Amino acid sequence: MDRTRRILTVAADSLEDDGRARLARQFERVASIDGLVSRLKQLPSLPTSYDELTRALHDPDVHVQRLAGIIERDPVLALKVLQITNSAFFGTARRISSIADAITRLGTTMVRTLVLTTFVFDRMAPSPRVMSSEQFQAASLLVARTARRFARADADAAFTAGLLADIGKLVLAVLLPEKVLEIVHRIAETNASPEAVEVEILGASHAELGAYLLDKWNLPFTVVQAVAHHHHPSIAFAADPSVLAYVHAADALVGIELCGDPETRLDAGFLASCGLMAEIPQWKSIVRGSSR
Amino acid sequence: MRVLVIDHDRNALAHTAGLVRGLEHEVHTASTDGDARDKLAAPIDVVIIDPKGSGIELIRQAREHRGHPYTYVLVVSKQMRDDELRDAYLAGCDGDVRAPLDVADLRLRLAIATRIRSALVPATAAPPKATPKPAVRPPNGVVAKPASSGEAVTRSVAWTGMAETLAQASSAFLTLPATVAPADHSAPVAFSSGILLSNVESELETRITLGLDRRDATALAMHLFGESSDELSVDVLGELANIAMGALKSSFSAEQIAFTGGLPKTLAPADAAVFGASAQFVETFCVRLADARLHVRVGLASTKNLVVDLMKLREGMVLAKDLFNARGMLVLPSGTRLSTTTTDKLQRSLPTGTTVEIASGA
Repeated sequence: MDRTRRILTVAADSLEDDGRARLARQFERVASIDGLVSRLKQLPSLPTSYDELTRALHDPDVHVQRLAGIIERDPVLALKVLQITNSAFFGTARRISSIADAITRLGTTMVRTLVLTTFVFDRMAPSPRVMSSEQFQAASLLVARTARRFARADADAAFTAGLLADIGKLVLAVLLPEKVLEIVHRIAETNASPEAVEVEILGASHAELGAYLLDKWNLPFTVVQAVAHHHHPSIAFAADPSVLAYVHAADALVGIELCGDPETRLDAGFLASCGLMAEIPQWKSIVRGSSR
Repeated sequence: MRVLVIDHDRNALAHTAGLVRGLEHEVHTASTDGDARDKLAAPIDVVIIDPKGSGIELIRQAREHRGHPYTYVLVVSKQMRDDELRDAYLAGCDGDVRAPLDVADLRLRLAIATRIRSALVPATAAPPKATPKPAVRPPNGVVAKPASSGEAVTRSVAWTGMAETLAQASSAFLTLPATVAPADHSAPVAFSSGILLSNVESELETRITLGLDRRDATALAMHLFGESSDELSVDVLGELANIAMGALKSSFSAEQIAFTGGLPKTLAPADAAVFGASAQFVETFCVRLADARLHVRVGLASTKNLVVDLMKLREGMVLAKDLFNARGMLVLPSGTRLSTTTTDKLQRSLPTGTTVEIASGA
């Protein structure tokens, strides 16, 4: 390793350390949300199949049939994975009828994400007073798909982070709907940003809460960091901020296009620092096309 | 009868006109807005109109020709959403029927038009000289003012003759001469009574508020009971409220809407101010009973939720349903009374064309 590369590696490691340290401080805020940690125990446990898949994927020689077998042990889960795989969402030309086919077609990382998604969307029941599950799922999938389309690399991580970017909102709608109502009223009556109101009322934002949960579930740091900072990417310390950039851009542009969010939701300075400014016009047209 | 058929679809126009002609009525037709406006300027007995496009505006225009005897307006449409139908009624139509028309249905509708016109036209064509009309009431129908905007809207339904009926019945009850006079909003009111009438089927609610100032209440109590006290003043007003309820029921029965009324309720001044404040259409007038003035406010509200375009939201409206954004997140819960800030934020953040369900009477 030459000297320059060594210096860059050290710098990147240092940045990642800084990023982890920052997240750790944010997670402390999440943990201090009144009653949250005890309530998190009320959430359904991650499916054992997800843990098994994660462990199996650490084996570089793992066979597709073994991975498929793990998922197929839970018929409901297997059916859901196949449903999503065959949905218009993935645009598969031919019908995929087996989990092994799905893994071959979509890749192990994506199938593992689908297992997690199935769990998140199916097993967590948000209060209908504060969240429309169907719309939430549709919007989450749209952000995920958009992030994946934006991605030049790490498309699967961008997809996963996009899909789970707002999991903190889901958790709040499941565990603390009264707090969500309080937040909604405050947002309606002030000009503060939604995240600022969340921090004011809860002590942490939905993004931080979501990242906290994903960290507990041992998702990759890149995904956790992208979720934590998807609204304010500039504050992240990231050696490679590309996944964060794709998720931030996808989430912000979907918000601007679908929810009338202000243009300032897109952090142009951050995207410029990632060398992605030139992509924005094309990304906007992608989002407009996807959301129609 | 002179029947004007207005429809931009020439085939539909010819079909309807043929049916009307077959029933031996005098038929006029208009397929353009300009032609329709010209023909509405002449006295017409019945207008049959497709309310799509500029139809609502033409219905309003038909109601604005106040110099003519009463015009019965029937809307005919293939497909009408509830909110479109509601707009047509609020603009002044009297009935609706689904296209394509058949002759039996049309004969029935025109018979209803004849009956209503015969009940209204003689009374409005030659109003009794002893009963001057209040300035707010045109010869045909009633001027109702949306409570919040103040914009005058002419309505065909309701209240026609209510003021006169109330004046006549009050006169008979009190053995005093009674006339209808314009409202005097500056008059102080010491005693108030309110009555709520409702029609579940039509999802309508009417609230009548009556008021007397202290001097007049005392004078009427003295006249009726030979003595006066606050209690007797309240009794007089209660009786007048019952008479007003009867007058209103009678007025609506001409429109084939049966109202069920409750008992008159004595209202404290603060309650009187809010009783009926939710009405979407309001008429106010006075009944002069000798020297005393009975202040009357009649408010009509739909109990059906209103579907309002996002850009027409305004402060004070109450959301009838939870409002979610495209991400599935609650933006505002049902029951929220909109403030200027929330209205502005909704209009900036939700997509153009969004409609919002508003609690009626809010």
